[in-house]
Amino acid sequence: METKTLEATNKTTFGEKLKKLFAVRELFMIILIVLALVVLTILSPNFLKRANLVSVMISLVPNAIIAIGMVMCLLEGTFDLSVGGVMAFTGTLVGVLMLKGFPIWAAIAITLLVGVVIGLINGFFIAKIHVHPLIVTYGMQRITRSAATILTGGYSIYGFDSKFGVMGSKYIWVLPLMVWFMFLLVVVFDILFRKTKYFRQAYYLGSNPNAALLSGIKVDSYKIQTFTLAAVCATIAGIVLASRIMAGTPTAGDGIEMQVLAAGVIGGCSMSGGEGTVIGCFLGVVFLALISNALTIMSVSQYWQGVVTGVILIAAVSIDMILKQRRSTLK
Amino acid sequence: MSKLLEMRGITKRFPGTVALDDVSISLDGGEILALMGENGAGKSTLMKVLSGIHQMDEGEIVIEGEQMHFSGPLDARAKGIAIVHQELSIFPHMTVAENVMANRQPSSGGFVKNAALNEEATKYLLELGVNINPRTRAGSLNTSHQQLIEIARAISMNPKILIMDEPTSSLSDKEIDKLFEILLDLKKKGLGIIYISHKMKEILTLADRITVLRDGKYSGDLARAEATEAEIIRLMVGRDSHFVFPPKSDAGPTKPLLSVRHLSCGDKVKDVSFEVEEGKILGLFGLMGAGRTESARTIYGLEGKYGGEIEMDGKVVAIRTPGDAIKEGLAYLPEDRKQDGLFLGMPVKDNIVANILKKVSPNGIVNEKIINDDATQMVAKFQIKVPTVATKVSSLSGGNQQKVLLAKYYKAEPRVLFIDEPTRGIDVGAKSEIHRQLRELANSGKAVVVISSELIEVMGLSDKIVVMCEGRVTGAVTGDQMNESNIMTLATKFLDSTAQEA
Ligand SMILES: Nc1ncnc2c1ncn2[C@@H]1O[C@H](COP(=O)(O)OP(=O)(O)OP(=O)(O)O)[C@@H](O)[C@H]1O
Ligand SMILES: [Mg+2]
Repeated sequence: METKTLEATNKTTFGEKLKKLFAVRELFMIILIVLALVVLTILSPNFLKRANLVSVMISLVPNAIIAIGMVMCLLEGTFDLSVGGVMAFTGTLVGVLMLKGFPIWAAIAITLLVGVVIGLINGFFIAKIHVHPLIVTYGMQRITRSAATILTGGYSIYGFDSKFGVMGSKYIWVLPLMVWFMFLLVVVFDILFRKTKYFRQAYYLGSNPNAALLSGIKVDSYKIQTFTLAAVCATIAGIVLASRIMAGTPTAGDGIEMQVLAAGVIGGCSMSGGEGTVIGCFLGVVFLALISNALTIMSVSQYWQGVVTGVILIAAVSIDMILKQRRSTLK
Repeated sequence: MSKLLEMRGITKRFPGTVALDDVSISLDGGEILALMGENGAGKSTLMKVLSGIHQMDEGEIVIEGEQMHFSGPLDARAKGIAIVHQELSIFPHMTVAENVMANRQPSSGGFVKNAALNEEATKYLLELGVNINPRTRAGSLNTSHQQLIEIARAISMNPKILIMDEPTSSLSDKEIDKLFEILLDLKKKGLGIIYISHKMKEILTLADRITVLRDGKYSGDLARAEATEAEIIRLMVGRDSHFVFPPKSDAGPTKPLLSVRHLSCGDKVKDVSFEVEEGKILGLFGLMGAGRTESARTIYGLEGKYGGEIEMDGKVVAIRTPGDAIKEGLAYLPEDRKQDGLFLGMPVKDNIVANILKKVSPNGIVNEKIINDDATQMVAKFQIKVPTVATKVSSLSGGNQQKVLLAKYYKAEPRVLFIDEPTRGIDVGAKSEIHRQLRELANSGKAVVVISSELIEVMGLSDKIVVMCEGRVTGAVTGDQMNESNIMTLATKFLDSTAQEA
């Protein structure tokens, strides 16, 4: 008797877990990605080559890491435009510190701390002074990118201790450490957002801010923590990138905020909050990376790349919206 | 023994208004206290102070002899205070269970225990007689289920003091009965309950004592034994008054403005036919789920494709969207006001003229003076309690927000106005004022269709009542046939005998 009922409940929850994990949007993303893979393989013999696939994976690491923080913003119906600038600034800062003679761990620790401070500043102005996130984070983007340029005199900086390059140089199986690190972050945060009380608050907040306040969520400080996570993710992305290219470039991550936002929306986040998952957004990042890789290996002219990407972006989200409407009218 | 709760000398000011002025109330364990007063009297504000949402400017809150200082909702919750808010506070994207246990999900080590979460939520929902999958998205449920979710949320906190601010505004009679059973049960367990409602019947069945507020001040207390409707109203409005329905139309049959023939749509509307005559008020009555609202929505173009015909002035018209319906002179005031009708962040005046922008902008330029005049006139007509017409709608009391919405639709001067639950959440005095306005609209050669689940209101207001059951029209009554037993027989025609009893 006892075991039977247990089994029954286990079964349903397992099925439901699967269903939840691949909530329709994620499935849609996977289909899109598989479709892209098939088309790319047909179009270009070079695509399926290991070197190419690995390079795609490497190229999407910063976006995927930044996406984690961005998902939290999107869940609350907001966004962070400063991530590109923060990534460039912290990527150069960590280099400058090492060149100044700080040990690697100290340089990284200080840089992370600076990332935290940047996030706190963003969050403070948004949550406490009520300046719109667009203004605060765009302003912070300009400030940090400028700071990166000032810090390096406008040039890339080189000459770090080779141990710092471990993220790009050390391989486990066929993939460099940075890719594994990204996978780890994505999986961990996906679980955290699904399962923990702390991160579920983001869904409550985005779904109905007023009701969230009434149910005792400390909205202001949670907002600040959100922008802090976003900035810290951008900082980690900056450090990882610097480790891979063994350089600090003030122009790194230009336009990355829009790429990640687009990936988030393709991957099922709603711009008005309450909906989205880390995995979904990650799949969005993968999809966009595949598209851009395809354009490169098929040597589509630089001039045309924007047109193709834009069309695919709008088409992908449109298809999903149409399917969604179908489903809701069927109900 | 000290009282369970005492609020003494509470004063609360908002910019431009004194919402509460030296108000005191008290509550014992095992007591149900009804809080009454006109729209804007300060009931919700007082409860928000008690639940830590607003901080009072003066006064003190004492619970079981201990002085309280609430700086937020969490503080009040920690002291055993739970509240069901007047406004729905549902998280539409989240599951039913996550809504019931909002921010209190069972967890270990920070991780939510989903099985326990669903189990807990289901337990409280079942207690309320609600049988829904706890994993359903709350946003996909109807308003009455959403309201029940909120009630379950409050009860699940195991409070010492349970506050209910108009909890039954979108519940069916059956659901209300169930809720009352639970409230009486909780009362027996020693809970103190504060209950706010404009429905006299509820108050008189439920309350042990009634405290009345008027214009932000304490107006009086009535024990159950001495409470009568007239006495309550006297305390609410400060003078003797009795409310009567406006006289009905004395014209004989007039020409139909709108005719609906064999209308069908989905499984909620089946072969519905009726006529709306010029100068008349037509009542559309039925129990929850009878298809009244769905019929109105179909006619207004909100449900898309339909079968059958809709005629205006004897000519068949095709209504595919609300835009088409508006062009034909129809208007529909929806059940769910907040979501569908108000621009909360905008001033009262802009809300009132939202549907007649063309009229207030001669030559395409918005004329502030016309807007102000129109709005001022409507504020007076519907007795909207508001400092100025430039006040944001979001700072109005719940009932006054509804009046703004009514004014907006009234101002659009539709030929046929469909109005779903016209006086939900509106105090008794304003209610009869609204009834008068609707009659006036009809008398001016328009027509009104009133959908209401309050039988007394439908009977008092309508010249003719079309009764529906299970998506079909089961009959129409006029004149002296218009009585409760006739109507209820028609309204339950297709329901089996057990459902009739319930
Ligand atoms: N946040 C706010 N800002 C400004 N004024 C407010 C605010 N909340 C309430 N008020 C004002 O306080 C007064 C009391 O409002 P309250 O909501 O307590 O009324 P109520 O008795 O609950 O009425 P109803 O029956 O319509 O719900 C009203 O005049 C209202 O306009
Ligand atoms: Mg109220």
